[in-house]
This record gives sequence, structure tokens and C-alpha cells, in this order.
Amino acid sequence: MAVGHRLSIHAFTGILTACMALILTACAGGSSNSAPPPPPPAATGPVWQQGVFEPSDKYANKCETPRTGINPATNQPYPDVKGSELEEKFWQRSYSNETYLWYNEIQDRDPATGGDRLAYFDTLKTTATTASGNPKDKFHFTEDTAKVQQRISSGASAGYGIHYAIIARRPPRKILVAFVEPNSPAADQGVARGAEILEVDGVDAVNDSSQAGVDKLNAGLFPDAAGESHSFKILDPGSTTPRTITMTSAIVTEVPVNILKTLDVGGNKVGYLHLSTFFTSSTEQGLFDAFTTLANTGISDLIVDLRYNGGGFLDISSEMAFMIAGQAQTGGKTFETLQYNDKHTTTDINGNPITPTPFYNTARGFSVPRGTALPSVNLNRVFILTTSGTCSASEALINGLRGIDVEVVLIGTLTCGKPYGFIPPDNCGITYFTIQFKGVNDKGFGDYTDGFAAQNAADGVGELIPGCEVSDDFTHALGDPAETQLATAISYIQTGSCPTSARPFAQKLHAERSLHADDPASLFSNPRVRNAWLLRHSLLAGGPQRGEE
Amino acid sequence: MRIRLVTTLLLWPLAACTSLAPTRPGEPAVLSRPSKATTEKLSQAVSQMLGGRDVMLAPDVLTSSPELILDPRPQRSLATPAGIMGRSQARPDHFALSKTGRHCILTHKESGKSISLKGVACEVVSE
Repeated sequence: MAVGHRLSIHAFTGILTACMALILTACAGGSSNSAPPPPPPAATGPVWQQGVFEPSDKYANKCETPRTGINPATNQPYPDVKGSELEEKFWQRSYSNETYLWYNEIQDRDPATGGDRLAYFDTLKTTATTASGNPKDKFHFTEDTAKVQQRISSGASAGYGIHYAIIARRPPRKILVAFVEPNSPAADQGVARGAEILEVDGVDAVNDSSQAGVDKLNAGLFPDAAGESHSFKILDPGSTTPRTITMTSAIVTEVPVNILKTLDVGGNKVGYLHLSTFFTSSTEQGLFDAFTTLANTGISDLIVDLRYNGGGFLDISSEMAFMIAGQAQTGGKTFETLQYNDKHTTTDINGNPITPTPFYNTARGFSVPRGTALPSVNLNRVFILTTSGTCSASEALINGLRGIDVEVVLIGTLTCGKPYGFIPPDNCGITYFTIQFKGVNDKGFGDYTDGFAAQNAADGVGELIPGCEVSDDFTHALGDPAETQLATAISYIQTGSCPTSARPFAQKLHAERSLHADDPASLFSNPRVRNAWLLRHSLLAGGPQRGEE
Repeated sequence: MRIRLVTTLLLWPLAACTSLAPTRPGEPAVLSRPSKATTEKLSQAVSQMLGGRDVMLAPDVLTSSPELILDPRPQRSLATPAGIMGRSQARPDHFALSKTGRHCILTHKESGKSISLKGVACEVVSE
């Protein structure tokens, strides 16, 4: 033991001497008298073996650039330790193998190749396509953790009060104003539904495809803070002359239920409710108040306008389904069950038991006291107005109700097709959104990757359900009975079928779809056809979006 | 003795910052003189109770109701105009403003943490 101790001291002294020498060498590195520095040691790290995946925990938090301090999202010190980009990529690979819904469809590639960590992550998804030829996985993202996990708000966001309808995300883009919050910077400038955004801070919003241009467009369209001024060239509805305005962002509070009215249809009372989001807790209170009013009114039909509702809290979607259908139809039934990959059949990816989401008949405590009994209009049929902006928790509402045989009549265009979701992890400051679960209804159905469409959809793409394919109508205000989608719903209520005028709209949509398809052989690859399409669409809005940016 | 003095001097500013609330239950309250400065102080208090998160508050919070609800703030862009987490299982953070004596107390309901708000005026409301 004594010898060992002496040896330890010797060893320690030796290491110390070596360290000191190393430091001195490093310090002397700039001297003109020093010898050339030795070549750097060969990079070491994990070695890829195809098809062999070590637990992601082995590589977790081993970061090329570790963060220090306290993580605001957890109130704990950052777990990061010094590692390498290669270890971050090995973590991505193992984590995807463990949690990605279609992990066995990922082509296994050597993390040492394939670009940086973000480029490598882009490859960690299925390349399969749906029956319609669209990508099976359209939702594969990364975000800066500081932006996505640590930011909270009181239902407020910095902006101009504009809700965009992004008809085409990639050039030639088409960005329209879907609606404007009252008393907002946009309302002050007279911006109205149907206006088209042509330029933002001098960047061509229609055609610019450069990354710098896209960054500038995002910065202007979605400002981070109040007090930012950006210039916009817009084309007002009905005008042929664009105008340029400067808007200064302000903190705007979204009102989720922003239109509620009762229409007289052939002597019957029909409710119309426009719900813009499930993303804020105040949605629960808004729906509670709206359905209390509708229940007291005694409506015979309900039209729910979800055309710009991209989803949000799944529990509130479940509550809404209950408020539509009532206890008799929903009691004991499942609104949605989340299905993970076959490595997670009883617990989710964090080890929590997978429990079906019921149709909640009491408030969940978002903004209505938890346990409060919810009102209901007890309908066995509901009309839903849709576009490609109808997404995720909004589609869960459609699917959940169909799972208990409530008739959902879809009036509008193809929905976005997102029965999927994430429990996004942070690793080394990046949050990874890789599809981990699919939501299925009481019948076990959740295969609507192409979206829901009306059964008369001209191209037959999507999960076809009762209803009428009708384009969005930006020439009328939301809630106006003359607005085409609402007018079609009213007509269907009166006649039990789609109005004949809805069909030509559907045919136009068919043409738009063919043009939007991500197909090299698409007509859209022909500049003349594309330009003709653009000209036509300066007058005609609508149609689904087909790409990501 | 010296250590105690140093410790006291080190902890004193911390205590002044956090100013933990009195233990007596207060009565529900709303802000009586809302201003940009008040919103900023509220944001700082909320952020402090939540470990330094980036908080965005509307200018009228806690003016008509003693309850403040905070949700994750979606990151929007051309690629994800509606935000990414369209099927969120997150839960909001709830805060309540109350008044005890002359103190305006902000309480985070989920954790039970409270902060006495300095330089903020509030008044009791009947719910």
C-alpha cells in the first residue's frame, strides 16, 4: 500500500510535470524560436457499425459546445459536457432508432459523413411516400431550444394582428391575410382579409428563394418582439395597385373564439363558430362560453370554422368534441389514443403509461376551473370548414368525432394531414422534432397522412368523408353567410347535398393540386404554365399547400 | 463573526430581490395602476419564479382578473405558420395576484412559490 502510495505520488508528479510542460509549450507556441507544433492527434470518437445502435443515453448531452448555467425550462443546471459534433450525431441516430415512429424505414448512414448535425438529422426520416405520392413524413424539424422550450406567454404574441393563409409556401409563394385582430397594428393600417403580401422589407415574398430572403421574410412576417418596424408591399382585395405600408409590431392577444353567431336557416337555428387556435389556454374558456350560449339557444346544426386552426392542446380538442356531441354519444368512448413505435407499446418514449384520451366532459383546468361540467349541444352531425391550414388537434377533432359515428360534414379543401406528434427532446441546445406518435380514434383509425377531404374531391386525394369540396373565399368576411364555404354549408343543411356551384370550384382545385405536386414532371416545372397559373391566381385564391420551407 | 457578516451581506440583495411573500393568505387582487413598467416587473417576477424563462405578457394582464395563465409560445415561420406542436400535451402555468396588507403577492399555483411585487400597486377584488 505504501509503495503504491509512493508510486501514485510519482505518477501524479509526472502527470503534473507533463501538464506544466504542455502548458508552457502551448504558451510558447507563438515564439519564433519554438519548434513546429506536432500534428494534432487523430480524431477519436464512436465508430459507426451499420445496424448496430447503442443506447442514446450513452451520447446524450455530449456537446461540441456545451451550455453552462441553469436551464430555465427545468430550473436545473444544463447537463451538457464537452463532447463533439460526431457524438451529437450518434445521439440523433440512436434516439431516432429508439423513438421515431417509422424507425425501421430510416436508411442507416455513418454519422461521420453526411454534413453537419442539422444536415445529418434531415436524413433520419422515412423517404416513403403516401398513395398520392406525397412524402409520408412532412414534419421533421429542429429548433433552437432557447426559442421553443423556454418561451411562454399570456396568450399574447408580438405581431401585427394578422393571421396568414399561406396558400403556397415555396416560390411562387402566395401569402394572404386570412383575418385581422381588431385594434391591432394591421387593423390600424386598414389591412383586411384577402390582402396579398407581395414584399417584406424589400424582399420579394412571392419569388425570393434564397435563404437570406426567407430569413428576412420570416423576421418581418413573424417578429420576435414588440416595437419592430417592417415595411410591406400589399395588394388589397379588389385592388390592382399595390401599396406599401410600415407596420410596427405590438403585443397582440389572440381571441380564439372570435366569431360566434346564430343563423336562421329555413326557420332553424344554426350555430356558426370560428375557432382560430387550440394553442392558448383561453381557448377552453372561449369554448365554454360559446357552447353555453349555443346550448341555451337550442341550435339544430353547428358549423365550426377551423380553416386556419393549426391545432394546439389536444385536451381542449377533446373537450370541444364533447361539447358538440354530448354525454350520450361520448360516454366511455376514446377521443384519441397515441400509438408509438413497436418499442413503446405500453409506455411512451419517456416511460409514462400510454392512456387513451377520453372525451372530457369536465374542464381540464386550462382557463376554466378543473372539474367544471362542460355544456353540450348534443348533436350527431357537425359541419367543419377546412383548408390546408386545418391541422393536427383540429384534425383530431374530426377524427375523434368520426370514431364515435358523429357525422362530420367537411366543407372546404384538403386538411393538412397531421395525425402525428412529438415529445421533442433537447440535446446540446437543439430541440429535435421527429415524429414519435400517431393519434387514432375510438375505432383505431388514424391513417390520414394526406389529410381529410370531401367525398366529391376532384382528385380523390385524402381520407374522403361526407361534404363538399369548396375553395376558400377571400372576397367575403368570415362568418358572412355569403362567404362560399359558409354558404355551401348552409345550402347542404337545407338540401342534404352539395350545391351544384361547388363542383366547378372543385375542378379548379384539382388543377391547382396537379401544379403543386412535388413532381419533376409536374406542369409546374414549365415556366409558362407557372406564370399562367400565377396570373390566374391573382384573382383566384385557395387550394392546398404542398411544401415546406 | 466576519463570515456571518459576509454571508449576510451576500444574502441581503437576494432577499431584497425575491422578497418572499408573507405567509398569511391574501385576498384576490388586480393591478390598480397598470403601466409598461408594471408589466415589466411582472414579467421579471414570473421569469424569476420559472427559473429565468422568456416571458411575454399582454399589457392588460391582471387588470380585470386576478389570474394569469401562461402557455408555451409557439415559434411560427413560413414553414410552420401555425407552430409545430399541434398536438400538445403541455400544461399551462397559473399565477394568482393577491393582496395582504400593503403587499401585492404573485403566487405560482403549480409550485406554490410566491413573490411580493415591489413598486406595484394592486387592489382587492371580489370574485
